[in-house]
Amino acid sequence: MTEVERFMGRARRRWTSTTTLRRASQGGVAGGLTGAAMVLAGGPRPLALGLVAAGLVLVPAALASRRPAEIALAARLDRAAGLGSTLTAAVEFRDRADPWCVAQRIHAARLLAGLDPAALLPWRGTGWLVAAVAALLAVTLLPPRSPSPQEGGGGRAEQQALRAAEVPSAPLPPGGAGGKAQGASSAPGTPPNPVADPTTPTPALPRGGRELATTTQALPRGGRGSGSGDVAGTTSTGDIGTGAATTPLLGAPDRALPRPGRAAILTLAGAALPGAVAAPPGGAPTIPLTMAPAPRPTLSLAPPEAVPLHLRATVARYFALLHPATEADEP
Amino acid sequence: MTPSPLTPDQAAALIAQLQERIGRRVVGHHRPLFELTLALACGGHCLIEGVPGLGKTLLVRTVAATLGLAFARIQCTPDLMPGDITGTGLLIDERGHERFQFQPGPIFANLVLADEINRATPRTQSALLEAMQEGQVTVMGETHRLPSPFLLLATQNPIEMEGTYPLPEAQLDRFFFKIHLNDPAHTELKQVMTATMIPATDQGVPLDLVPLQATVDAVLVPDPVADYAVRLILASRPDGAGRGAAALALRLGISPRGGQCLVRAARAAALARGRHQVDFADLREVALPALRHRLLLHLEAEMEGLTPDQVVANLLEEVPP
Repeated sequence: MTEVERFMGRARRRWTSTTTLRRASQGGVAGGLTGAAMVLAGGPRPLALGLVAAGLVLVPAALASRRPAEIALAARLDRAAGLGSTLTAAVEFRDRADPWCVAQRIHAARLLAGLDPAALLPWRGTGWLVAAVAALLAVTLLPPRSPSPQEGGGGRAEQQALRAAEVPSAPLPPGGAGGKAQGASSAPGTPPNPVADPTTPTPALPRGGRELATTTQALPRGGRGSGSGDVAGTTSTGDIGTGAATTPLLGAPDRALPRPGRAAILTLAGAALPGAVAAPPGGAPTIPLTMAPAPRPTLSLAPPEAVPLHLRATVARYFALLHPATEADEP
Repeated sequence: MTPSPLTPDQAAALIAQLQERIGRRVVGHHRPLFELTLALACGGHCLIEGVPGLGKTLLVRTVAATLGLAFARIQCTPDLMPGDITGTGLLIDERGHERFQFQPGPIFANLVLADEINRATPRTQSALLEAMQEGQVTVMGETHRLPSPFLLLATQNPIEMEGTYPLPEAQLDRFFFKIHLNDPAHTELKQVMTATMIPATDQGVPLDLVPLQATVDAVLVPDPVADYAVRLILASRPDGAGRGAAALALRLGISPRGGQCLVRAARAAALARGRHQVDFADLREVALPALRHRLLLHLEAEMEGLTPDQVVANLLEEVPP
């Protein structure tokens, strides 16, 4: 074995040891990060440690075949030692026996005599090594994430207790709580107020009431009358009730929702015209323009089955509190 | 019979001796002298460029005297004909029998100086192509071998461009080196003015160039070094896949023949350093004289003042070993 081959053997061992350690560190970092994420997610810690170990072993094993060619390693050593291409040529032409190549190998051996492969191939994996140790410590020491009430055993027990304490609730009538109160205040047999029920169509009115039935179309027009009255302009004079007016009227109150024009007419109708009547042209009986009461809050909640499980008890309690309060508000 | 190659140390000593002998008459110009020596060791033709009065002709004459070679000079002018260079067939009448006899031209010498080559017409210039590439000339259908070694050293003046015919790319590519002669520095100029002229013939025992030329071929070229030369050449191709930014200024990159010359010159440079193998530094050292005349710049690049030397320097910077 020539001096060049011996030197290359030492350099190869040095390269293998440093590269294997660096690749193991890189694998440890990758496995450690994955394991730490697993521990944080509540995974088992032994499996996370196994990931670190797998990274330490598998990455160097998988990359073991990726070794530089002999000439590439020689060129690297040449660059590191400042030898130009002496070692490269000695390695490349080591099988040639002509005097020129023999002389070249002797010359290269003379230059390599004082060189140490460890100095030419220094260890450059400290950062990876530190990171791998840090990842391993993280996997070992990181506290697992505390389970949520839905996930933990205590949470499930609490959930069952809440379900047991759940107040059975029935679907509310269409009028909601207000509807029930109104129904209670009405005499038995009295038809329910059609205005209160938004789903009930407005009964047909006599002439002059066409507009009443189509309030939603009359609203934006500002109630221009055909007699003496302009509703908006004559509220202070009281002329409004004398002519055949196409007085705007509120129809179904559920449609009297916050739209600027409607709100203004609501105020006008409720405050300035409490006893106003609209007389049809033919002297038909007047119809009191009693304004519809403000809509009751409609509690058209879906059945409790649609409420998430952990909120059902709260909703039930809310309804239990709401019922007495609603009944107390009713006159 | 193939001459036995020298050892690297012997070759380095011979090259140093050649430089020293030429340097006795030619003051200064150390770098051009070194490049010329490398070209001689490789058997390559040289184009020497410099303003009048720098000693171009003196340099070539001195080289011829130092090597003990047969020297011929061709002064190129627009009315120079190809036959004036290659020779021509003369009609000989011998007792009523007429026949053509070939009369060799000045190109049949070991060392030929083509002075102001760009003053010759393209037709005359092209008469040199066959001689430069193949070492032979063909006259009246008859091929004649040139003596060995055959070296053509041509000069041209970069200033006087009126009435000249720039050399075509095909001919430029056949020159091994293009050597620039620069103005001498203060001390060298002083030495030139005070020195006694030494006769060109007084150069001692002629040096034998043939063993040196045989040794150049024995120099080893490791694979990474050859790969570096290839990368350099590919980086100069304007349309190539591996082109560099420097190639954007080029219309024509380095030819494969240029790459051959580069590596061969690097071998000679390695010998001059006493090495057995070519190094990356050798390639970089000879890149300028070997490549500068093989690059064809875009008109825009020329107008911006870019020179082939700068492009070669950019190439070397872009392509690391």
